[in-house]
Amino acid sequence: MSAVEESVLRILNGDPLRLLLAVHLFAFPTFRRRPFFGLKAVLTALPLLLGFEIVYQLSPGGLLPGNPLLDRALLLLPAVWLYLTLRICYVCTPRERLFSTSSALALQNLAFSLFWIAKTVAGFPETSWPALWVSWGMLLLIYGTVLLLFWDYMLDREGHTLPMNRVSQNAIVIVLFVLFFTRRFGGTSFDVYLGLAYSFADVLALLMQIGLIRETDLTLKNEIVEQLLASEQKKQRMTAENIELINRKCHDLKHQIEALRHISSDDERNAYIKQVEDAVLFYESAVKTSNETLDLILMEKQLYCKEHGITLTGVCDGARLNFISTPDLYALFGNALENAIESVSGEAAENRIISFRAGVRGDFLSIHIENYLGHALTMRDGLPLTTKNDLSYHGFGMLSIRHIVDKYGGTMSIRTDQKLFRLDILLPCAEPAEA
Amino acid sequence: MYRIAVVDDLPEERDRLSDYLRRFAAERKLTLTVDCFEGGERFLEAYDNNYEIVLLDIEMQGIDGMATARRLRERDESVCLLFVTYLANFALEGYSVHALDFLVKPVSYENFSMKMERALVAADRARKKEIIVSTPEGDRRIRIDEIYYVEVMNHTLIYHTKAGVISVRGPIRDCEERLTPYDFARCNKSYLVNLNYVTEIRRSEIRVGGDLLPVGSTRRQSFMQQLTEFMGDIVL
Repeated sequence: MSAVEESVLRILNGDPLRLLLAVHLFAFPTFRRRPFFGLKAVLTALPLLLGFEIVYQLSPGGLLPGNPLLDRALLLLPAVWLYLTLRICYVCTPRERLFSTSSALALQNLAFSLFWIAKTVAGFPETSWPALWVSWGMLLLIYGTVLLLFWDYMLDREGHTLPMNRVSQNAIVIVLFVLFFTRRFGGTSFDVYLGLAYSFADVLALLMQIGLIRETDLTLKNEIVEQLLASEQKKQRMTAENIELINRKCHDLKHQIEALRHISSDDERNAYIKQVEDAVLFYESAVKTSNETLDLILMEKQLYCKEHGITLTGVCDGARLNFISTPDLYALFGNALENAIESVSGEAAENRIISFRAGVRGDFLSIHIENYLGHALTMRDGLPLTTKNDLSYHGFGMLSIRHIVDKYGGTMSIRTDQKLFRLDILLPCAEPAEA
Repeated sequence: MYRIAVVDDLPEERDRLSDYLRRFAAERKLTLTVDCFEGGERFLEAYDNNYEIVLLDIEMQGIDGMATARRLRERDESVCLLFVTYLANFALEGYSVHALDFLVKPVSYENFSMKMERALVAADRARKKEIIVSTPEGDRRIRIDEIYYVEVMNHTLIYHTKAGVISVRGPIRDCEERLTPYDFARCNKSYLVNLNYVTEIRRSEIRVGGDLLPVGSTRRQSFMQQLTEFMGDIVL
């Protein structure tokens, strides 16, 4: 076998390539790729692949054969390089890079250990064509399995905001393990039982990572349930207030009518009639958008707003909203308006202003809801931040809105400027709109 | 410079809105001219596409605000319309005349200034502006609101407009800088799209002025964001 052929075999069946494939396996389906992705992926791969080969050529026994501890510590360099590769090729956060890098290290170690067992049992040299085919066959199998196991996370990483402390704990454990319990660089001190032990530990490490994802998934679901619960309570409170309000108005009305019977002077009677008129006008806040669900939501919110000195106005053609199912429409407008009401309730009386607009252009529907906002908001992932202790403001119910927007294949945007909070939603209409 | 019309049959309401407008102009350092009309007929007689924003009272003697708005819309589709009313009206009617919003009486200054802010944005969008490009046959004026999209091909910019196709040599970067303030956005590396003419969104394509253009996967998110915000700002 020629020296060149050996080098090629070493690169194609080497740890660096396994590492690179592992890291892209975790990142490719998960993160948005940066511009010129292909070029960047190749340029980041080359130094790692060639670097290892050059080091091997210079010193087959490791860089520092005299100092095994330091020699192993040098294996940190590829891990750092993988982290940088992720930074260059994909749009992702540091914790996501840490998570992907450490998972890739464990996966690579697993693939290598299993290959080493197969090689030892079958008895072919590491650098040979049969070894390459066996190695790649196993690689496909192992990486494929891991891809399936992590698939949910990859498709929905937004739902899994991994906690930094846990990500780094896992990463430290895996990195230390891989550094000190792998074969020495270029060395061959490895047998079947060690291989099995290492594989077992690698599988544990990967399960640890999956466990982390499942846990955040659970936390997220809990958060949603908590939000739903709190929103139900708020709705009940508003409805109760509305009923109380109507009762009070009816009571007033009864007295005013009673009084009318006994009034003789025209002026006084007119003044009373005016009062009665006002009371009735209260219900007549013409909510007619030609969408029954929306009318209902607006009617209820309008009652609440009037009583609390909030100006709520809007312009829309409700018929154009018919393609949204009743529960979704209720959740969308209900949550958005409740958020706005909650937000302006904390403002000075003259600033309690909410306005909305919904309209269609081409084949999409635009919904715009804005309200006065006297203070700054902290945003996270494009949504206003809320914590359990701070259920006011806008973050509340936003998850639910985003869920519906996603369901209809739409886009949403939140802007806060010029003392305004603006929520924009764009949904593709299911039915073609007439001109 | 904005020209604003106030239409209301009550002198005290006209005075109040004019005062608000003066205060608003002073605070924002804007130049405004304000004309007051005491009825819909008077206003329609005087109207000659000469206002950017119209504040229109609904409950008026003679023809009411809604009827005035309908007749106004027959003549001008783009002027920005704000209703002033006693009753908060979530109206379909308001939508049918493309009103921006309602101001509920008694109008507070805070409410007024918030809605005026929006009206200015909408009014700016409706302004008809032009750019001048040099073609081999000489300089040509192109109305920005008539550009569907700009395509770049081998250092040539191709303006697809209502008036036809105009080719100019030049880099897309310059053109992007000039047009981005007027609601243009890049949907992929070779198309700069007037958001006003986007009528359909597909998975990897959009329809602009009748043509289907590809959307780059890296640009899709930011393009959709810009489109969503644009649609929220204009009066549909």
